[in-house]
Amino acid sequence: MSVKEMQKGLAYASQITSDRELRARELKASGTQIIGYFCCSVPLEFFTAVGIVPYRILGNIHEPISRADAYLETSMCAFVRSCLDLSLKGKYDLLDGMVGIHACDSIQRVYDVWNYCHRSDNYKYTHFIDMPHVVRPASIIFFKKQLGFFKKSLEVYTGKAISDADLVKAIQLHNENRKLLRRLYDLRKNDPPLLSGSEAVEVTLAGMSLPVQEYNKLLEEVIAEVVGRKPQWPTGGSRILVYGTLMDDTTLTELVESAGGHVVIDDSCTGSRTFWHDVQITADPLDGLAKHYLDDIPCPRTYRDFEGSHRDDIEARFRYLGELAKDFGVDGAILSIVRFCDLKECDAPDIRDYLQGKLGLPVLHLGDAYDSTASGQLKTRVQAFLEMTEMSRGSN
Amino acid sequence: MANVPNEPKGSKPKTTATKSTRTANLAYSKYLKKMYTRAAESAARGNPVAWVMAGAMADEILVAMDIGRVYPENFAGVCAAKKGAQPFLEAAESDGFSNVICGYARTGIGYGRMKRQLGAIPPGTPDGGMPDPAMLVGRTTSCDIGYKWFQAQKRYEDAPLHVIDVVMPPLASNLEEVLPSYIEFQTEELRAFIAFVEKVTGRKMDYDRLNKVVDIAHESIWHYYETHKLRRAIPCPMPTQDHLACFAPGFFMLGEPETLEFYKDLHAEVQQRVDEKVGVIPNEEFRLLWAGGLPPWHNLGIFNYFESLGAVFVAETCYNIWDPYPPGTRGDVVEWIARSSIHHRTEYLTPPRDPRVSAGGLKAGTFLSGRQVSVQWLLDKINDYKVDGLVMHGTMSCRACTIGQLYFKDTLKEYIDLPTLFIESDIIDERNFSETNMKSQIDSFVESLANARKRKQESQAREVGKSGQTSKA
Repeated sequence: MSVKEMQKGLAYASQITSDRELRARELKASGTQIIGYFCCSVPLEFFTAVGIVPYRILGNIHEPISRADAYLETSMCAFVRSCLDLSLKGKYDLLDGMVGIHACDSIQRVYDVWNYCHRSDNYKYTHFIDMPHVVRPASIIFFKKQLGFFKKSLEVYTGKAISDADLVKAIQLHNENRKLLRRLYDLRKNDPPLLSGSEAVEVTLAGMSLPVQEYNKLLEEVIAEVVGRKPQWPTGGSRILVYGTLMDDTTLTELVESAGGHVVIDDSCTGSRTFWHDVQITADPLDGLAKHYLDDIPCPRTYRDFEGSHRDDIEARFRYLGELAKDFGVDGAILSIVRFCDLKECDAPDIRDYLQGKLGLPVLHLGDAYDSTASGQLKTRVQAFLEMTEMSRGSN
Repeated sequence: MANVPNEPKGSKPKTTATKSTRTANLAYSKYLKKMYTRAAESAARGNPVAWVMAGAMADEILVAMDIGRVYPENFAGVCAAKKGAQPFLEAAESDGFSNVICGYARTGIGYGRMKRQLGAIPPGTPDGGMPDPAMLVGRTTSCDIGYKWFQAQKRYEDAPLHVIDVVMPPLASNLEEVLPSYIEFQTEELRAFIAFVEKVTGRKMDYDRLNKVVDIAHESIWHYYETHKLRRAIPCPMPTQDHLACFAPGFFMLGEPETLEFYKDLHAEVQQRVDEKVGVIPNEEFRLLWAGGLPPWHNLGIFNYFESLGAVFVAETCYNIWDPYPPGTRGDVVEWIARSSIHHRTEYLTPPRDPRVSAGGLKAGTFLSGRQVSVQWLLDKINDYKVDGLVMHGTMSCRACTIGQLYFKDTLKEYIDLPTLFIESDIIDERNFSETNMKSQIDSFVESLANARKRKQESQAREVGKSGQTSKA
């Protein structure tokens, strides 16, 4: 009996999240290639088109970083250090290779170090995707060429040509996945939400080690299960938006839930950013993929030209957050930014001003040390914030 | 335990560095200081002034269009050296900026915030501060801060921002395959920047003038590049603290006739010192490489402390002037600047020659001091400059130039075993800096250099003894 036959729906998602290799090991044993990747900017459609399972490299806040300090300086993004640390402890031994990308300084710079640390693993495949930072017609053309190099490298590695039809089929599968995830997130609009923030984290993480076809089936099961169950929580809890580097752990969502609130929506690179927009199917599929991965994902690593005042610029950059807050009936926002993430820290005062000033939402800015040792202090801050949010709701 | 010399009681600790060359002493007083006064005068006359990130490849374009320039990174360094950065750091942090983002950025943002609150340049700002910008010019290479800083700076500056995507092929790429796409994109990025400046200022680019400015820039770079080669001499004629002054005209005043004059003078002076065997210190015991990271601008005097122990920094991996791209038949000058940029960003990817490097099957290398560097390039530098030891400076707020240091130390050990010192502080923020602790570390390091040399000499003597016995047999 395969692991998939043992569990269904939310229970299976939870199981996969707690043991991310569970299904990947089975797949690998049957001859499937497993390639690691960092960041939601890596176009997964290419892997799917050649039958490779993409395996998202994630950290673990509960595992003290002990071995990565020999290779990565402590002033580097704590999440990336945790990822390398886990790999040095054998957590990513199942990988047949890895793909890096120029998303941000830390993700860019860990690529060479990762390969150096794993030189004895004899990866069969490695590739680095260079991604421009600006969105202009020339940068879309440049990025399309980069994706062409990526495609060619996979073709050489697998010995299989990737046709346009293969790519279109893969895009359709991943768009279906995006649609299912959006439908799942919609279930959080209710009061009380039908799906908790912690469950949402587990379901999104589960998909990061599964073939997309299997993940789509799992999402259908989860949606049916959640829609069919009785309300799990009382009505009226504070509804929180989490803006963050990533949500690869349920510590924060559980703290909010234990204080009577709900994380109802996130803007993070393991959450909504990965599926909020579909890839457009274009005559040359590389055009749609280049446009989507460079322009559609609202990561602060991407710069878009803007003419006008700073206030208008903030409105243009963060309007999508306002829309999320409105659609999900948000009462307050938590900025959970991994320490040493320059990109998000540079944006934080603007986001705070937008959410507080424009939308009137209370904001809690948490510097996330990517470390579970501070959870006691975190609990106090989250509780105090929720009390403030409730008072703010009462006064409106 | 290391012996830490005490400062004489009541004396003011020296935090700037004493330089060796006459020209380096003029870099700031005669040239760089002028950048700020000239920008202020230019702004007062109504001429546009740009705030520019170093490495944006915008220099020649801005000079050719008569746009005044200041470089907030340099401004932050000047503030730190003159002990004037702290109020700006605090002003940025009090607006919610993290105390671990780039010290340069926090200085600039805090300066902008205070300037906005006061409605004028804060009193006591070093060098009279920076005039209000007509435009902000960011870049994407080297670090994310290169564009995120200016995006945040717009909280306080009513000026349009343009970000130039400055690209560099990854270390692992097949250069032959990818280079055309890089040159094409870089060229388009520069054309977009010219269009931006034309729109903001209403001026049109004069391409003949741009060609002339590029000529001046090219010749300036050539002189500085050749000057660096002269530092291979024993004794070393010019130390790193001189470089940390002399790189500035090339980075912040490139394309201007005075900059060419400066580098011609420096080249001639350093050549003369080599010819006359004039070293940085009378007894050069150890030759060091400033191997990773940016310097602690708040305490550059630390370089002189090394010298007091007989150790001279003969080279560095930061702020290197690049191998000048051959003018050849230039053709389209904008494309030439793009080609020159790509040339600069790939020149440190020296392919492996050492059989042990190539046997690794890796294009070994990664980022060092913010640029991509191959292990072979660093090995060549160590050999060419006859380096005895490495010093790496890890900084809390500059990830871009800190990441890679541990990697390189570990990798280099497979090919060459050199004593290495890791020191930690920051580029700007001296709140966690302890001069006493750093000096204690330096004392121990210099002792280790002496021990390493002794071991090497003993080993060589044994080898000579062995070969003598063999030849007798």
